[in-house]
Amino acid sequence: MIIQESMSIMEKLEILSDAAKYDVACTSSGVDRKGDGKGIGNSIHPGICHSFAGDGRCISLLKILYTNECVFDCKYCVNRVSNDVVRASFTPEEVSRLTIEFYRRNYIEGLFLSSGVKGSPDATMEEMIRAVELLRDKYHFQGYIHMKAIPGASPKLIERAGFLADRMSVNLELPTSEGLKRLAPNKSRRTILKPMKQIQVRHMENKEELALYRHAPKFAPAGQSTQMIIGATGESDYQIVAVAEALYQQYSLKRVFYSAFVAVNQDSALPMLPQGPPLLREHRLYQADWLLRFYGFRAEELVSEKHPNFNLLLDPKCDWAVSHLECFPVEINSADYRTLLRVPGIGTKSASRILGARRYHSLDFPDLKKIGVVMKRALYFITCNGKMMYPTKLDEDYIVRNMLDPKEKLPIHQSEITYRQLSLFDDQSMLQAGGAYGL
Amino acid sequence: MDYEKKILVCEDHIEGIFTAVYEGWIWHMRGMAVEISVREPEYPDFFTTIEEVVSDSIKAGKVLRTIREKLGEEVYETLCYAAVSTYPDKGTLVFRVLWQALSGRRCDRHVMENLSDSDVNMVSKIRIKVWHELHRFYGFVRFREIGGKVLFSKINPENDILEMLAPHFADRFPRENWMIYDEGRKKVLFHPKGGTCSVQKDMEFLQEQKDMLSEKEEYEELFKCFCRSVTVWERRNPALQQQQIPLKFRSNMPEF
Repeated sequence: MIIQESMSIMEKLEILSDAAKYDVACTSSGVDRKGDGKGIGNSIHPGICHSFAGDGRCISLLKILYTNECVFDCKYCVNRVSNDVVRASFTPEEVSRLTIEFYRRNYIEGLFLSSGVKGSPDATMEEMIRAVELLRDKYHFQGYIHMKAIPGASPKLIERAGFLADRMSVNLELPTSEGLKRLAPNKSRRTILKPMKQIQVRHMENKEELALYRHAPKFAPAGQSTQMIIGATGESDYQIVAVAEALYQQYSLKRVFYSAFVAVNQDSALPMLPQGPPLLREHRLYQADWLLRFYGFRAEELVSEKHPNFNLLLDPKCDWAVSHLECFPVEINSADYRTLLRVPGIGTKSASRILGARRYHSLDFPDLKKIGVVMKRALYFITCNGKMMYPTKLDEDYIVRNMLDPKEKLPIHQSEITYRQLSLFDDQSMLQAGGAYGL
Repeated sequence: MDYEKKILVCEDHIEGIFTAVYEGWIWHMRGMAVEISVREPEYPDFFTTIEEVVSDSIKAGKVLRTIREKLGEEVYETLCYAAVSTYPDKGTLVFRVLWQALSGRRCDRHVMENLSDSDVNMVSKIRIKVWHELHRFYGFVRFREIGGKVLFSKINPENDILEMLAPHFADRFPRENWMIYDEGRKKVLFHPKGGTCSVQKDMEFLQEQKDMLSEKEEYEELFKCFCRSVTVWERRNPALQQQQIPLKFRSNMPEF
């Protein structure tokens, strides 16, 4: 291990933000808090993006590790103990100073503090808490703070962290406990799910406290999130989505993030990804995630044991629609909100706009276009006053053929996909399906 | 048929537009078609009379209060967004939407939902555009510490949103002296430590002050370093980056 003495703050920042970049939870949303006029900072519910990195992802929080020294040996992680990389640690004063100075210049929305495990989980957690306490108490910082709970830290420390942070997160890392055992030998399902449950329970109790006493201290008001690495082990999309659904239902998570696996280490336990990270797969998972959270879909409607993976050529909603043609066409002028949401090309915004606008007039196709419905996708599935836009067939092959316009680009450029490769991929994962993924 | 049209030419800010709405209402009640423009029309029609409207804070205030009380906060906000936009016919649009909502003792708080109407639809589109720009500037404003006392920022927004930034930043930085300078419109929003915001128009800087404003800062270097190292190069995607943060914003941001 290389430990350098007296590193400049610039060097530390470079190392410790580089080490934190694979964590995708950069949102600053979920909490509305006005400043009290005495300190610095506030927070608004939708969150604010302050900049965008070269990979197109938003920079909202100062995303850093407290230290990249780590006693764990997770195969996929740059900072694993068996890697020979330069190690650095911040001090609580450095973290809070950097956050405040960035925040004053409106570079960031707050702090995202994670860490490698230095010494023991408890010792690390305590250091992190000290840094955040300094921010909240000395600098009266009222901006957004996202804190990681270190797996294995004591419940007392998690509780203290929850009262300082806006959002807490514990990373699930891998969707199956078997995968976790193989790639992250120092972590276990238990050490990950225990703090997650604790945060959920405490958050619920706190809601009741707040109903009684309006000014009671808030426990992680923006809830908790987690992330899973996609494509490092062989699980199917069905397993991943089923886990995500269980997390939303049983652990009341605010968000589950999916992170396409980036090969940073050479290791026999890890897959080779010559085409780069599986970005399109990650994209499909996010689309499905939205369908679960905002569109009233259930996981088994989208993928199943029989069809364990998403169609890479069609988004999950279109894919569902073409295989459930018995639910269509939907009459725009009479369908309820939930039914409208199931139509490809109609999102939550355009569905509620349709409900508002049809109180004034009955709607026709040009009106839908004005409202923002994506007609290219919707036209096969809707009628306005009993008529379809063009005479079309309600036939699966016909619709798919027309929707897959050769000129239309896939969301992420993946020209090498062909039908043949797709079916190969499906077969392969079919063999692996059926593993243990229950929570 | 005595068809007559009146074009009211007003100043290009919220007060000017809503004064014109006040004046126009009276003419429209008498059966005249009314248009509100922020600049003199180049080729006026034959049956058109052009009238200049002098901004009047009392008249504009009356209109704004009526909108707020009768149509609610949401419609009020929407129409204010429309009034500060760069869209040339915004005055006429605001007027027509208001007429639709309020004429003949009507009081339609849901007027903005009537999206199949082309005026309402246009205003709603403008609202989204202006709101989007405002929200982007919540994030893209960059302060620079000048002389250890004042935080200074320069912006070049398309729509006239400077005043709308005030509540957000005043709440965020109550204990700082800060100013945001709209370079194109030559006005500055100033917030003294612990005080309230004020706007100063026709603001020019001396060369000496300009030099002071462009001095490099240590934290800018640190932030640049952070932006570089937080990028995952395996996922490099400049097209997406440019879609999220178009080039026009970047000239005032140190990380680009």
